[in-house]
Amino acid sequence: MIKKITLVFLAGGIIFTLCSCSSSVPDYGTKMDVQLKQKIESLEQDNSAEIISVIGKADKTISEEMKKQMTMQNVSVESVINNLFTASGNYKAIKYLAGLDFINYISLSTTRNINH
Amino acid sequence: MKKIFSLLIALAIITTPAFAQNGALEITGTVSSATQLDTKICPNLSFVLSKTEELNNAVVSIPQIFTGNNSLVRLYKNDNGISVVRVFIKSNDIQTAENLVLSYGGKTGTITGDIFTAEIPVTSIKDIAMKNEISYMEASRQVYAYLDSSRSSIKVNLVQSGYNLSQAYKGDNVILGFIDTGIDWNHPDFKASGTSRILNIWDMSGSGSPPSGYSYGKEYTQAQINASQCLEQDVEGHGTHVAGIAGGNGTASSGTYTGMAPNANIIFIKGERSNGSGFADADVVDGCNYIFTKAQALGKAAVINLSLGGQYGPHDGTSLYEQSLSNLTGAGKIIVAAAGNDGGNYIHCGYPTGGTNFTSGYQTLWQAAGSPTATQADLWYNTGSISVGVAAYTTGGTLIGYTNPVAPGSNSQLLFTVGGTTYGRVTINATNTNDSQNGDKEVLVTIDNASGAYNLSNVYWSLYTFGTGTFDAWITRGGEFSTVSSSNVIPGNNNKSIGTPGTSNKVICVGAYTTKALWPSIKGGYYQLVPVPTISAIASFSSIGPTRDGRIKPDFTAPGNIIASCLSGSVVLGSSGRDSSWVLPGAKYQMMSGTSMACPHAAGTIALLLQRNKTLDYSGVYNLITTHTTKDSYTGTTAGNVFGYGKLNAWNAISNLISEVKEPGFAPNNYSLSQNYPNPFNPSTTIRYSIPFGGNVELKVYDILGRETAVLVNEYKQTGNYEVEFSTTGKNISSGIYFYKLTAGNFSSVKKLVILK
Repeated sequence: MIKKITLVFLAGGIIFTLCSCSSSVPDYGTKMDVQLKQKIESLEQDNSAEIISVIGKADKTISEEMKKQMTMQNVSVESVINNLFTASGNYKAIKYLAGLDFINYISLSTTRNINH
Repeated sequence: MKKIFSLLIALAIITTPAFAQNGALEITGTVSSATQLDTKICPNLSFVLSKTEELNNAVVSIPQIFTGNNSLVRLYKNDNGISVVRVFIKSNDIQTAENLVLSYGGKTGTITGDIFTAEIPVTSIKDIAMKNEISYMEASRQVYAYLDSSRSSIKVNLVQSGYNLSQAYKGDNVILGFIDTGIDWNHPDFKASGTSRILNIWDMSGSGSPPSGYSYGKEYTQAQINASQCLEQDVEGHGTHVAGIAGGNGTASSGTYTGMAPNANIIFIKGERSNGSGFADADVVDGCNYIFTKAQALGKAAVINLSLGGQYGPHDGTSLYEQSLSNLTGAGKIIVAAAGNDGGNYIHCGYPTGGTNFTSGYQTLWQAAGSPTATQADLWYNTGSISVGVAAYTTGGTLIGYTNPVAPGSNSQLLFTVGGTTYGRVTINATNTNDSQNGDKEVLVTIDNASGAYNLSNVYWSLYTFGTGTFDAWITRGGEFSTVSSSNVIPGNNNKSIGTPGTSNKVICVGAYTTKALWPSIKGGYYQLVPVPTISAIASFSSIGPTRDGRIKPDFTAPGNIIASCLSGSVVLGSSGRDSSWVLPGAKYQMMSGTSMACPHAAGTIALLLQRNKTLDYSGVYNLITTHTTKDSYTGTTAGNVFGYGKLNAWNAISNLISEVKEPGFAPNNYSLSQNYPNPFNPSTTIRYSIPFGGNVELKVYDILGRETAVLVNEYKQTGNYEVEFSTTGKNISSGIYFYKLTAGNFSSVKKLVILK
């Protein structure tokens, strides 16, 4: 924690403003949370085969037929809780998952820690 | 932590009356003439009192335990270094008498009828004995196992002994589920008659035989565990400790460190894919689903303990993780989560922003502590339009520079380079402008070291905002906000620091308070935290509510500071591992602190409730516990975001769950009026009362202005226990706060109820 510092604005001096190019939302992004979008962009850049875990939501209770569709492109579906599910796969598999019509939303599985 | 044995001795000398000279004392003297006090205490306690007065102010040291075949009274030094004597206490109001003992810093133990065992400070013998609630007090002449302080603090000891209940409750036929660092399945406290109480272990770090329906990890059966064919280990020790609190049976301590539900069965998920790597949300969901599925197949109710959490997410119950956990709960399916240990950390900031650019906007300083690989802030708001950027200052406070702002709908990534020096890589993503789950706006700000190229701790970072709207932001990892404040610099704070999944809509969330300050160590002597925590006060680390959507959190609190429980045999002790100062003599138990430790007190207690009624769901458990908590000078009388609705009281909860508090036909000793259940309610609630003598009874409901709203009882009643249903159906009674008043004989009691339509 910063206990006490005095902020000094360089009045009359040079303050550097760092600029970057902003980009628009990727097409598949509306179905993914921010962390998942960033993760997929990063893996895509490296063409990584890393397996990522996600939690997803469908627009209705997931049937066996829907589950079969979800697993067609190397997506491993683990738990199904009505219209919610956990799954894993590489970034291509997760993008495929997001592209399915009945998938509403997918979030990256975040890591949590023990509270000790 | 610091070794303070010498300090403790000094404290004992200063604060305790002297009994011993030359290091030991055997009290074998005679009793003086009878007084009123003598009618309430045994002669041996009278003698102790006479020696107290005689030796007062003398400087002596007091050994931990006095022994000797001829000793009439044995004095001990308790975990807090105070001289205590163990006694039997007779009372016609055990619960009040127990509270009295606890208020003097004592402990309570086994209850048999109207007598209970206790350990009381020698200096308090007279004060306690003279209270009306105490009929008689007798010194214990033999050593007996006493329960550790946290169990009596939340009245689980009363439930386990069946005090004023139709039976004892120890978690029989209920599953305790855990997702944690692992369990020492060979610890004696998880066995009964030589058989493991653990039905299954799913080791997510293992491989080769995942559970049916899953693609990862290794599952072990009870038979494999009994045959010592289980390879799962808890090298961190956290999971074993947590499991011991909720469900250890105290075998290795002859009962001293018995958990809350010692007869429950256990299903354990070792939830880290590798030791120390943390718990993925999806894995936690899988683990919970696995436990509930197993329990359902066995026809048993289950409560799952999640002593884990983090700060990423909307903190409003709408993330898919929170939704998944909530959706898994149901009748006989309860999840309990720790509130989090950020109560003393400035991981949150939030304010109504303004201005139109960096200079006219606002900012909060942010330090990346310990050269992390990345630090991240997650910002949420529901209305307005907020632009967000990052600035950096030298450690002397001089502004180095700032990024261009990122407006809603945009994202940005850049190297934070000024004058040829790069301080880190900044990524700001504000593309989530209409979150699909809650409709809110999110901005995720990440500063990383670009694979180790930069040291993030070389500067002070700052999160700046301008525009319109009020936001909440949480540091999710690698840092903390600053408390520095000036005209446009807003300090960080510890508000809304409840972690996820404690923020879920249908997960019980538990904070921590202190029940112990001192403990004996295997290294010899006693240890305590510095500064010494205040007994009964909130633990300094316990996270604070509310949630971002304004729900009171934690729901309630339980003991969580300096808790003794099972030590995993796989934990490495000593300089290369766990500091053995934390380990208790005998090396079967250790002390740990955290809301992680409070959480299993609640989970174990809920197992006792589920033993009574295996169809209880989240709302049932939530209402039972939160409307029957203990309130004291620390909690205050109204619910808040530090203690929630108060301190867990297992006996109050279960006795209100049972339709008849006492055995049918058992005449009550006292008048009593219970809190209505459920409360708040719509359209009906139940009110219970007891009368020890026959007579006219009035039970009426009044509005907040004192106007009579309903007459529930107005007739002669025989001695007994009664319950009345109060329904608003068909009545013109609006939502709000009302009072109900019982009048019988000279007794009168008023309680509050809330109608929520």
